[in-house]
Amino acid sequence: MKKYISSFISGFGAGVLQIVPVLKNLACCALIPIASYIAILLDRRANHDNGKMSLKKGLMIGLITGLYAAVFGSIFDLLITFITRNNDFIFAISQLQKVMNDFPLNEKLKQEVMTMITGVARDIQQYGFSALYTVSIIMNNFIINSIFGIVGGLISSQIINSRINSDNSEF
Amino acid sequence: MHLQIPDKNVSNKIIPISVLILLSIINLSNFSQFLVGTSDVFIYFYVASQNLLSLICHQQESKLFDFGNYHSLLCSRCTGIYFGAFMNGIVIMIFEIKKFRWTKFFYFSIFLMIADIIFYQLKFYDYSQIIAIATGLIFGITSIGILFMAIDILVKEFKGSE
Repeated sequence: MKKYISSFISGFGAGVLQIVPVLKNLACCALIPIASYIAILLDRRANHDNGKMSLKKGLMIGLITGLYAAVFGSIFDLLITFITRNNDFIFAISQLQKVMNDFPLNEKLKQEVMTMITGVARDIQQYGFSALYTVSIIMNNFIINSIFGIVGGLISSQIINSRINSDNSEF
Repeated sequence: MHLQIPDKNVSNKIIPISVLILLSIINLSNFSQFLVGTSDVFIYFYVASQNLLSLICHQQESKLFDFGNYHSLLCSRCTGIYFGAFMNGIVIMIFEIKKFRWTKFFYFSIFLMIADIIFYQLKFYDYSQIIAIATGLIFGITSIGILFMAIDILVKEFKGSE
């Protein structure tokens, strides 16, 4: 745990920011890679490490940051959905209904998909919880955040190393 | 925690190919609305894509690409990023580009993207999908360049530790 405290801190931060609407829109897919970069910088600062860093370490820090962000992001998302009985999914329903009507599909299939979607929306509005929504949000967060965490970790390590290389070549 | 790649003769190309497959799925999901017309099965793919891509893009309606009744699921900038990354990934793989100073271009691409965001937020000009996709494209191209360079070194690190 202590080894990955920097991942914990920035993963927690990213998890919180993931559910803040305006920041979420601004940061887009950059939130987790930025969190990984901060985690790497914090780790280097804590270990007084000024040399080149191993890409393996960058990958691990990125992955763990992404996983922490997924854990906290999912918890906060589900908690806020439970308290407010509202979320982005409810806002997207009307748009989804409009799109669904435009699709050249048979009515039975349209009905089936709409029943599934409205069932999730009804559960959220009535109980603040939907099993399907919970599973999908947890799975999506874990997949996306760990991938973007790894990408962020690798790119950040490479940038840090190339900066060290260029600093050394100046002398 | 100690990571190890199971196969000792792991090919340097397995990870970049996996990245390219992932990028092709994202690009396909982006235009999944167009697939729905071809087969009913794709309706589930569309609903799943909508849900998944909402985590990596704000999907603001005014910033999506409209084609008649259909629209992309990613905003212009994200479309540029993932399309640019996919295309440059293929180019790097085919021509085996290894020594290129991606980092300098990466800083430049971030500067362009941030400058565009600041300029249209401050109303120097209206939001332009062309500028957004162009800046995204440059960012995607440089990001995948650095990522592939990092993957190359990472594989060497793993091989060296065996």
